[in-house]
Amino acid sequence: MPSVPVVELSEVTRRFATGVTALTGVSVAFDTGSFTAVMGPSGSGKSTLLQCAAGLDRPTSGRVTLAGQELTALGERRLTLLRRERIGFVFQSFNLMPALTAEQNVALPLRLAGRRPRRSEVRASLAAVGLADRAGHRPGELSGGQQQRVAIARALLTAPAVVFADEPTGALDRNSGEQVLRLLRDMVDQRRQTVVMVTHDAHAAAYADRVLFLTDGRIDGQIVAPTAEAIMIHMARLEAAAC
Amino acid sequence: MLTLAVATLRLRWRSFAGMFVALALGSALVAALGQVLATTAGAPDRGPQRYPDVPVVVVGVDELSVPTWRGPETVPLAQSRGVPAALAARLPDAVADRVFPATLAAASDRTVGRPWSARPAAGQRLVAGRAPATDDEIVVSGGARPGERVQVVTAAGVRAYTVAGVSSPARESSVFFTDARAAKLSPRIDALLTWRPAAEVRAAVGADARVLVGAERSRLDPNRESDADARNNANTIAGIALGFAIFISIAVVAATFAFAVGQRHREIALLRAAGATPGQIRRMIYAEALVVATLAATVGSVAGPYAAPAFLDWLTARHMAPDWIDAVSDSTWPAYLAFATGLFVALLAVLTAAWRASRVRPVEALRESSMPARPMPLSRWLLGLGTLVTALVCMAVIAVDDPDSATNRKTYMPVLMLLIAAAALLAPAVVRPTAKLLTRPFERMGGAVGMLVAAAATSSARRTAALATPVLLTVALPAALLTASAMTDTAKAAAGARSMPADYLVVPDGTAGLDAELAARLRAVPGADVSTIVESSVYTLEGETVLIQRPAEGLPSVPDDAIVTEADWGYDVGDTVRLWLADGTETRLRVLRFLPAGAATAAYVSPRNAGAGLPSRALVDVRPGSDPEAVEAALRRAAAGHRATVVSKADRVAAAATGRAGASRLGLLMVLGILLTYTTIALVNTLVMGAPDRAGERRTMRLLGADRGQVLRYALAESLVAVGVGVILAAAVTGTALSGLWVALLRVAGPVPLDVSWTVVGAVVGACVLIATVLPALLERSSPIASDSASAP
Repeated sequence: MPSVPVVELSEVTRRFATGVTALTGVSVAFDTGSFTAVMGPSGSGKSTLLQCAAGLDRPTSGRVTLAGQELTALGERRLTLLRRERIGFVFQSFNLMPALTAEQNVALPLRLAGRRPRRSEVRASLAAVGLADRAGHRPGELSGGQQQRVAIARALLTAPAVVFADEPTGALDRNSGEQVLRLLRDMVDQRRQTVVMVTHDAHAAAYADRVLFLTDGRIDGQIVAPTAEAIMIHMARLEAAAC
Repeated sequence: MLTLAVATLRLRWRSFAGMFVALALGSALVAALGQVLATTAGAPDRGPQRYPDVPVVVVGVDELSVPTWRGPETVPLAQSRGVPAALAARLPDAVADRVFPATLAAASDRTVGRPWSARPAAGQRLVAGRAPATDDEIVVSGGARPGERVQVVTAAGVRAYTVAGVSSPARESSVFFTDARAAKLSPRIDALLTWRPAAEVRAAVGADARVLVGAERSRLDPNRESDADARNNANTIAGIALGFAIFISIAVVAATFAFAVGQRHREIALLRAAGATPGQIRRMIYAEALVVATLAATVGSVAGPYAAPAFLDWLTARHMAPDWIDAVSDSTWPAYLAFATGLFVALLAVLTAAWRASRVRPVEALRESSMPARPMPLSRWLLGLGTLVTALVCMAVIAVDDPDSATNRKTYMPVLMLLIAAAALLAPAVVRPTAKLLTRPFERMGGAVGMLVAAAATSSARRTAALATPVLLTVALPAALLTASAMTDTAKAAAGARSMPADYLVVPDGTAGLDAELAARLRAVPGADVSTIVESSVYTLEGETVLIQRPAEGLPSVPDDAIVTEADWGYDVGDTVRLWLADGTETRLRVLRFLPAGAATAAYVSPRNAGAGLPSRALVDVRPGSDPEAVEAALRRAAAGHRATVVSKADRVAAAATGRAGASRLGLLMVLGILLTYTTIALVNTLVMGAPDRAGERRTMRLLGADRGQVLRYALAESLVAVGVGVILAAAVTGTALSGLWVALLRVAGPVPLDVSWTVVGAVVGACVLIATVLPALLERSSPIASDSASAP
């Protein structure tokens, strides 16, 4: 099966008003049904890369294409419509609306689009992440790991073109983190979901099909079918070179 | 979006509590004041007071009618000519009522003199004694017993009469003379009272007089003007207070909502990342505002009308509302208006906050900070500077061009409030240097807490400003407005004293004017130059179409064919003016000269042209070379027994300066009350809403090892610093505003003492300190030391 890139960045540069250049001429493509991890030392621009790819930030120059649409050419409103249907997010923290229950949060993107998902579908998504019994609880009553899982349930229900995850295990203990990564992996394997994950944890990155390394705003190598050890060695080399 | 709005409201009801209170209060005020307005504006006039029991009253022509090209122009006459004697002959069984000045020299109440036959019309019965039989006998309504001999002051002078009887008192108490003596004292017939059918009377009278029946008889009541004034006062005060209530509601709700939206910054960004368009965010904010507003406006518009009777009573007790109205209007439009206003205020106030919320970028959901970084957005700079420039320019214009207007409350009050509003808008910009100044001594001396407080106050300028601004308003508003009011009262009194440079004034004490005998006695005092002033009016025809009544005074130094006018009438010295006198006589007078600025009247004419009234006062100047004390003693001797008082210049200034019961001052107090209530709400609300932000800091402090006492001291010190910054800024603004006013008043009345009401200022500052320290202490008590994850805001 030929792999089709669902997200493509082409010569993307991002320069901030403070003079800092976060990305320089980055060109990368993410294929459908792939699980990609983006790693790098802090300050390498990996969060900026994710933000540009997800349409949360506008690059200074270059092009970003997602699901056949050129993000850089879209206005704010069209970008929002795209976000509803085709992009999912899992952040490190603050994923959920504190005022809504878990099942209301899961249904939120679809409700914003004007559609009412069926109760059974929402419950099914929550069940897939193991939180069917917590459907009526608010985020204040859930642990950090449970909140991440609700965010993943939200992505499952919406079935977007890409799920962008920004340090999803950063604030979690080992067990909860493994649960979350397992869920992401299952999404890719069973539903051909595309996942792009930014992380600094080699162990988490080992779940991915491919790991991209970023240094000083440029792609600096990749490892396909990674193991945790190979990643750690490569990172150590990068960080030594950076000093 | 409505579900989301309701869910947010349920979770964060504390944030919306302040907005709820402000809106409910605003609606309640609109409802209460609207009810007061409906009552005072809609209530019918009092029934006829003077002739309630006489069905038909005939009076002389009491209107001036001048033909113009637009048709006849008619205005009421200042002085009526009375009923012609020939007409009285046509109605032989009608009672001729004459109302003229007559008071007992030894008493202090206001009375009028009337003939005995008018007794039934006046509604007074004989209570003791008998009717007057000879012309030297009178019947009084109090102050003497039958058989006593009393001195009675009439227009001609003082004479002794024997009291024959006592009548029951009435609203317009009368001294009854025999008909013959009354006719001699006042030949003019003021009214013919008849019990015949109206049609018959009209036929007999024709066009030579007016026939009044029913409610028309109120035209003759002496209290008509004061009744109209009372009604106007109540309407004005209620109207102004209403306007201010609405305006300040909008301001407080807008500030509160903007703060709340700022706190939910990250949440809104998350919504945007999840796929909410800017329009959906705006609609959500509107929905939140509408839900709160609906609840608040309902509460306010239902509860408000219950406060209307209390308001009305308060106004009536100060003689600022019609006192014959005893039932508050039962119209429902104020309640509906209050409800609609509540919703309208909420939507208007929320406009900016909603727009700013819709501009939040979704990427900010990833950022850590909970508030946007800039304490002074561009719009605030522009608005603040614009207001400041406007206020300063107005102050300069008043000081240079038109200092007289500085004494008028309606002129300087808005300028002062503009200045204070500008200070409130620009406060965040100056908070940081001020806080630094204030906390410098504590940085070294205060230990760990001192260092923390100094750092916090200067680094989080936005938070300090959020607390300092309501304090600034709460302290500056009463300090500036009350002091300015006192300054202008003093200036007006001094200016009044300056523009009337007479050494002594002789004024009547409860009578209609100075009697002729007294005037002669005053003139006979050696060493005194006496001029008696008769108050009157003249009418001029402006632009060939409009008759205008202007106040005029009779001055003996003006010849019968001349007039002294104001400069802005449009005539030159020597021109001839066509005008009508107070009783309607048309005449032409030569302009002699112009009035000086600041004169209390619009024209001077000769005493004969001023008409039949008694002098309202006498101006006495001590001739150079005479002994002022001797002259004063002689004046007092002359005035004794004539119901008149001699007032020196010093007495006058002192009396004017303490006269504080004017309608405009009452309006000022009411507006001040409303403003202060709202600034207090804003203060409390800021403290309550800012508590979660501070809770995180305090948690960190306790985890690091600060004990409960240190954390409490930190909280108190932080609040006190903010209050201190607010007080300093308030002092600066008040100082600027009052200096500007002082400079303006310098030209009008010379240097005026800066009489700051320190008790009020101290009380207000104390209240702010109390709220700012007690509230955080209470909130601190109720927060636990352990916390859950960072997602619970």
